[in-house]
Amino acid sequence: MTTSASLNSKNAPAGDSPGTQVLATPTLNVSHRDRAMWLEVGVEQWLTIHRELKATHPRLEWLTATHLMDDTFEITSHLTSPDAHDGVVIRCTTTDGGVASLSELFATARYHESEMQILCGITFNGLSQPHPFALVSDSFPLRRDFALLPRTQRPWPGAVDPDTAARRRPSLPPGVFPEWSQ
Amino acid sequence: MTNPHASIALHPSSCTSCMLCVRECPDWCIEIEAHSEPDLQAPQYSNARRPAMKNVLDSFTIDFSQCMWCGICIDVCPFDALYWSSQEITAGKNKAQVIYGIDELAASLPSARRADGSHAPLLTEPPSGRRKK
Amino acid sequence: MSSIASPIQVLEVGLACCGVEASAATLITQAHDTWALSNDPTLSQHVLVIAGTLTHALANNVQAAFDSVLEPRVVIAFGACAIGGGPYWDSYSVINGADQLIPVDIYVPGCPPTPSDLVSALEQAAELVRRASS
Repeated sequence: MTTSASLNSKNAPAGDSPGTQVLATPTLNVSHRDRAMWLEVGVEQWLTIHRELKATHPRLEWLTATHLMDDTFEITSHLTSPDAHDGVVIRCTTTDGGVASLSELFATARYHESEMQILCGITFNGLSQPHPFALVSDSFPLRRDFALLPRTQRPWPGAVDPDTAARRRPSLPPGVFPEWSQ
Repeated sequence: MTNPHASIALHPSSCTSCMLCVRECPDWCIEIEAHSEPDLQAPQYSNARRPAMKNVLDSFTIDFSQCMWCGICIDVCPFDALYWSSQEITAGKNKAQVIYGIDELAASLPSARRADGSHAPLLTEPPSGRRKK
Repeated sequence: MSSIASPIQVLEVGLACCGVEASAATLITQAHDTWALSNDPTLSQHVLVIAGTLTHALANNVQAAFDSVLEPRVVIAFGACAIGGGPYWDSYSVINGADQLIPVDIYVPGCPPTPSDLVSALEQAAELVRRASS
């Protein structure tokens, strides 16, 4: 399903600055919340939607990635207008661990993409000269299956139960998932 | 100028060893040892499968070397057994010196305050039984 | 061993937020005759303050800072991170405490401790250095 989104006062919540803009790039979903417009696009439109929005929203506030499973990542970026009054949050989902790099459009994208590349293991196609990070890890720490070893190894004081007669299933400490037990 | 949040105080007779503060502490600073005993003051029922039990607190320690003074333990205690106190935590020669047990935590009670500024109960006072707002 | 000239020079390794509090300690006592936070590389330092979170990436630098501080030396672990990892104890990148790398003499609890907590610890450290050198 594709819809064209328009940034005008009819769609924006009350109090937002009126402006009219019709987007040419097809989007999957549009919503408004928190004084920003939230767009969801297919991974093929990632670069074109940013190229189109750069004219009115030239500031890249941040770019981040969330690991969902295997090689599926949800990439999110936040663009703002020059006075930072108007914001757009753009999201896409990639299933093969790769997405186009925005470093040609936004200089600050280089830093965020390098960080996600080294922490999640995503590939940003077109990111030349990634920013060097001092990461000491043999794996990708921001992936869901990366176990926080100190949390699994350190005995959890909350496992104590004063009522010795009650037989309860031993609980896991917060932040430890059963899939991690190796 | 004293710091009203310099450390955390414990009113031991209010503590029921419910373990909520232990479980909610983000740094796992609190450790409780407790056991359960039959509660002789509870009403005894002839058809009860086992006697009514109560928890008895044996040991309560806060490791101030890892404490980040977030106050989650104080917020979460359903029995108001934990309070902010202006008793300072002094530097130690080793980490064990910065772990405070029941006696040191109760000793902070005279300089402890509730959230509304009123004094915390003294060691000799019974549990207030006050409901949290 | 010859006695060490006053003020005793202190090397502060500011790794995170505690580094801000440690720097503020110099504002409390700008001219102190017992100890001084050192900026002069020609003066020899005898006290090392670790203020902030230790990471695997910076372990070698912290070790080098320790090696550059001369005997008799006193090491102060300032703040929860330097004592045992602090709120980041479960992180893949954090070393849980300076004493995993180097021997620590004074542990200052706090998150962060106040600048005056550091001033008290530095006075203790200066006293230890003086006693060890006499």
